[in-house]
Amino acid sequence: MTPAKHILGTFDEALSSLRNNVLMMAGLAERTLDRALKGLLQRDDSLCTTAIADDEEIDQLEKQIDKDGVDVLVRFQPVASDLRRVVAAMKLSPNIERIADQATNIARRARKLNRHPPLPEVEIIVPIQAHAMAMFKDSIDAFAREDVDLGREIVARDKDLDYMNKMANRRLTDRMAQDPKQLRGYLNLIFVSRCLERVGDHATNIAEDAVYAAAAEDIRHQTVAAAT
Amino acid sequence: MIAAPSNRQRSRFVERIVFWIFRIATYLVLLCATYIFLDIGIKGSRTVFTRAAPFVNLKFLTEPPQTLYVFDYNGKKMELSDRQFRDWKTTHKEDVDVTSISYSAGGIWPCIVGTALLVIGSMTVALFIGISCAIYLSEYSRDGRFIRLIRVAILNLAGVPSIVFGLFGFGLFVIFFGWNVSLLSGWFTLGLMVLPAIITASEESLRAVPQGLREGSLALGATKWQTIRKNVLPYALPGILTSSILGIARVAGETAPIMFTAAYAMRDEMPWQVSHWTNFFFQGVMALPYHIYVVSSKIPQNEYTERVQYGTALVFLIVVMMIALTSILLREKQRRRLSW
Amino acid sequence: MVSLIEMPQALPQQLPRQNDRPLDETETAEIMIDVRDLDFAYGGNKVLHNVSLDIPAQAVTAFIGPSGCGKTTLLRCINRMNDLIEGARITRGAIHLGGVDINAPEVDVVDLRRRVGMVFQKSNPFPKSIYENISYGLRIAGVTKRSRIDEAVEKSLRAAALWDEVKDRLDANAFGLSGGQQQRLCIARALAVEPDVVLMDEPCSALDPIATAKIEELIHDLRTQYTIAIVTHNMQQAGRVSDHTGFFYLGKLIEFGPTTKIFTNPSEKRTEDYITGRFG
Repeated sequence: MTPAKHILGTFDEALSSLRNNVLMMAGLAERTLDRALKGLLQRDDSLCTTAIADDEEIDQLEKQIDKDGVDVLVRFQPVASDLRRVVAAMKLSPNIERIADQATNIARRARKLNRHPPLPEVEIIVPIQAHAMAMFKDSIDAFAREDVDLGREIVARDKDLDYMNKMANRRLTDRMAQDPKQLRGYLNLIFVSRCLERVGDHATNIAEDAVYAAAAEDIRHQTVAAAT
Repeated sequence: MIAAPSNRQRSRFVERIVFWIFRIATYLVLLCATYIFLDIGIKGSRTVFTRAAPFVNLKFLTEPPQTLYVFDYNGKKMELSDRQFRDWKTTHKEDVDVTSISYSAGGIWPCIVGTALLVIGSMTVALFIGISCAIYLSEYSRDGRFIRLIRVAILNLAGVPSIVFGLFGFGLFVIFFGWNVSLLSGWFTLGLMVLPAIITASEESLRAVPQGLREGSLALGATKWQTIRKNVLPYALPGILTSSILGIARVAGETAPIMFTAAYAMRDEMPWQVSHWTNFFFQGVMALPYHIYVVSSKIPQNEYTERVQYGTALVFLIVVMMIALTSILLREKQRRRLSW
Repeated sequence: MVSLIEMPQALPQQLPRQNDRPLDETETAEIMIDVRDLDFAYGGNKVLHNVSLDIPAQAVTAFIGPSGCGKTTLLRCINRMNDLIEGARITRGAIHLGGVDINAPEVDVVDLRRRVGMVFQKSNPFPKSIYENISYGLRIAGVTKRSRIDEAVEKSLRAAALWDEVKDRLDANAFGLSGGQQQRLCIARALAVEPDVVLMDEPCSALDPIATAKIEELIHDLRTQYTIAIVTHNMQQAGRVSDHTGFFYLGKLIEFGPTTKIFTNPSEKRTEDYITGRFG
């Protein structure tokens, strides 16, 4: 749904520049997360290092988006949907930045894990990773396409992710009891899982902001029918 | 494309020629006006002004016209007015060869008074009817065939020759209404004559008042008449008074309308010497333009009549200028009080 | 509210006056002006189509929309200033002020215009002194007592936030004031006859930002006592100043609602397109 153009061309340019920055930032964060997890699963340190280095650019983008957002507010005094989009973009970017931070955390843990012999329990991370990545991708998609239903759906999926994280914790703690020599490794895996769970939380925030931008509905802090 | 130098030079040359034509036209007008004023001024001042104090020929201005008697007596040329001659005759019984010239002695005081009265009265009539008409046409009437017809009629009225006005006045006021040759007949005839100009100028002045003043007043809960009376008419008045200046000049100077309706060639009483105050309106008067006409065409011409003619003309000009000056002063006072 | 003006008693149907307490947020608003199914035409040219809205009492209602959309026409219908234009008439529907149809034959239009004051786009102070400007409305209503007029002049100049600036020169010509002051003078002049409703037709369009801000502040102060309807081209002004906003387009009322809703989440796409600057 591409809305009609503004009469003031510079207004359109400013809004699309802001939107593109958000999408670019999301793309970079996605790549960073992907690299960190590949570095973990494929035991590739170079990927982890690259992931950690990429975080710098994402931080700069967050600052740029905030600056551009305030600029649009000051110069164009947007109203209605334009205003909501700008506000949403400014609220989205810290969430993406924190997702990228979680990715660097995962990369650091991965490096630590890679110094030791591989653990078969690393496989536990795979479904959690898939779910979290999908939530993140979809939340950005919901923002880009202003898809309200998708956004609402993502909020519901966060429950599943929390459950998966809880199950992973339980299994890993059991393994820690069974095999104390690999304690450090299992702990790191627990942390990785928690990072991914936080990625899901941030993706939920992004989805909520996307729904607000699209429909002016504030769906935060609602009691969702628990499927637990 | 820049014009070629010769083209530019040619346009400039043409421009200078045209400018000079305009200049000459303007100077020509100035020349004519100067000639008229100087001619009347110089020749008239021989009659009106004197060498000795009080530097004004008071006799000319304050006495009624009398017949002049010119004759030779003992080698001396005597010029005596009617009264003087009769006095002289009582002392000198002999017969003298006398040429009598009417109107050439005495003064023109009754004419001055008559013209002033005619101007004041007719302007009053014209302003009252004219302003009312203008208010109706510009503020109250709705555009339609009838109103357009009225406007055409007013325009046509402006084109009627003044002699026709005189005849009209004679037929209606003098004969039909039975007012006879009187101030009233003269007032209405002259008033009607100058009415189109007053109406047109008043309408223009009313229209020049910004619409915002009317809207603002109406929006406060004023009726239309309250709005006109308090917020439109006061600001249109300077313009209306200016138009009346031109009207004054016309009213004072026209001879034809008053010839049959108000003016006498000679009248012994002054306008205020009436038996009953109502008779004031029904008396005829002497008037300056008519006097000039009478002196110039009804009697044989010589140096003495010329003196009277030019003297009367000068006085006439001065009287009209003074009335116009008063109107200008009034306008300035009004404008200063209500400037916008 | 005690009236300083003795209203003529000749009317069989007096327009009822409202009380002057500020409106509580939780109460349902009393409706001051009720426009119902209104069609309006200049000669054969229809300029308003089926307009229906309620202007609540003691609140500010803004009309926005592109040029020629009929918002000024509607405003001028409310105090019947359109009666001055030949061929302009309501072809359908009615406007009720406090329950009374303002176009009913028994209603005296002069009395209506006292109850419904108007401030124009181009400020039109009369070429008289400041005092005479304010007292004009009172004098034509028949008030002659000098003390009463003095009191009313001071009261309305204070209400228009102009008293301190002009109290020493009430006899000076109104044209000596600045543009913003002149417009506030016109507002004071309208307030002097103690109207119930004040209509403002783009009152700030000719003013600089500071003067505009002063008038917006004035409007905010006035809303506790008067019902205000304002036509504006400036949407930010509508957002700042009004409680309710109506969006007009091509003679139709597209949307009417609380200002915050119209400006954050309008229901109609055309409203959204207009206020975001996508057309108009």
